[in-house]
Amino acid sequence: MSFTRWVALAACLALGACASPQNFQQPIGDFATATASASTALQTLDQTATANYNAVELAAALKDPSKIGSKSGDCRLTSIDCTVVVNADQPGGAALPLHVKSLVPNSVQVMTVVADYANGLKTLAAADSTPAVQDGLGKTLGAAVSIATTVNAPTGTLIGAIQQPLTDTGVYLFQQYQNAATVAALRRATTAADPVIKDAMGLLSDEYIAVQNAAIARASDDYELKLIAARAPAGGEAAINALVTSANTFDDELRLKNTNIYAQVATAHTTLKDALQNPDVSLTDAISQIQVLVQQIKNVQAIVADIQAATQPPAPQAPANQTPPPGPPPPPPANQ
Amino acid sequence: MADKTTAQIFAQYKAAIAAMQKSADDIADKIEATTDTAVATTLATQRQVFTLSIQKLSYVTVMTLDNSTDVANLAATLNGVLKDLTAAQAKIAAVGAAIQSIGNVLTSLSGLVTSVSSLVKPGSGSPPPPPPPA
Repeated sequence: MSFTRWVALAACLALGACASPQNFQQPIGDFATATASASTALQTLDQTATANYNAVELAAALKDPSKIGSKSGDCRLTSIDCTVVVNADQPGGAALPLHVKSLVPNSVQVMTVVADYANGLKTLAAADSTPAVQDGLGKTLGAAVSIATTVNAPTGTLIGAIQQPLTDTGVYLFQQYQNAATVAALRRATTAADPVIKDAMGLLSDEYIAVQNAAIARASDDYELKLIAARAPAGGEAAINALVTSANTFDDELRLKNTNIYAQVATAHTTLKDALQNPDVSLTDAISQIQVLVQQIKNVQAIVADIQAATQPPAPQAPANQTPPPGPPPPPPANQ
Repeated sequence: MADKTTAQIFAQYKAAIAAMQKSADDIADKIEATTDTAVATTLATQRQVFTLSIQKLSYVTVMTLDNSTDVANLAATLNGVLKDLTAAQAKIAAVGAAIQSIGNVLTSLSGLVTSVSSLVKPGSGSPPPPPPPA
């Protein structure tokens, strides 16, 4: 064993800092599972929000088809892209795409890489040899660099953490030293990545709030129209049932706004980082925050499933040649 | 766009949205207070100026935060929303809804227009004109 290894082992034993990575495997595993679910949830939310956006622009196009046109500079033989837009009613207003595939393609990508990063931490916590630790650290920090690049965050600290060797490779004789190397790698990864995770999740939180503001506005429009119909003398039971259905969707959207899982991903990561620095003090906090995240994601998944069930028509019972069910409900009538 | 400027713009976006939500809620109160279906329907139509503006502004803000659209598009959208709401102001007053907060909406949006316009790079789109007088 080299001198540096002896020194490290001695320090580890003397300082009582021989934290066992096994203690972190469960919370890190839960964190990885939660971020994977958060990534899936974002994709679902993006699909719903994109469908709603497309419906709003379709309504604007149907209201005045003469507003349909090509994006400035697009859709010519010499163009690079072709995007159909709906021009604004007012001069100087925005020409918005008539149809988009995703409202937040970059954020979906960021959240996918955050899930990869968390999975890398999980692999790292279970690494049983120094080469595996070094490999896991490189992959984990590499994912964090990818996140930072996408959200325009600085990458210098991360790249420095990658370039600095954790230790020389080889087969260690002492399990304590192996454990110390693993915990050191986890510390370095989470410490370097934490600001990036905070930046990325801050951005996703803002986007989540804006998406929910739009969804709530849409749901409230539907609710008001159903309320008026239900209160009209000719309304009847069908109108009242439609109002109840609309109210349930509105209620779901309001509850969804108050369940910002992306802010909680950042909180859970920071407590995990702190726990790795001082497990005796904060491991319980980390486990607690990760459990909050897991529960919030379950709530979101349940609410999203409710909304999808309410907005999708039941499976057709009619013959096979029936027209396919429509997409999301049409937007409210044009204003003015 | 993960920087302080974005944070400032998003704070103003939230203020503008909150003001529009308040106005929409005020009209919802009026809708529930009337027993006249025709009046309620008219109010609901006026209310949609706000709800549709909230949706448009939110969607374009999201796309801007994601970097999937240009900041110039956010500025132009804001400009359109501001004009729509200004045009709707007289009509909303005419139907008797006491929308005290519409002035706050226009003020919030004007602040947002100024902030976003300062981010629009020359040549990346037409910056919106100054906000109309309240």
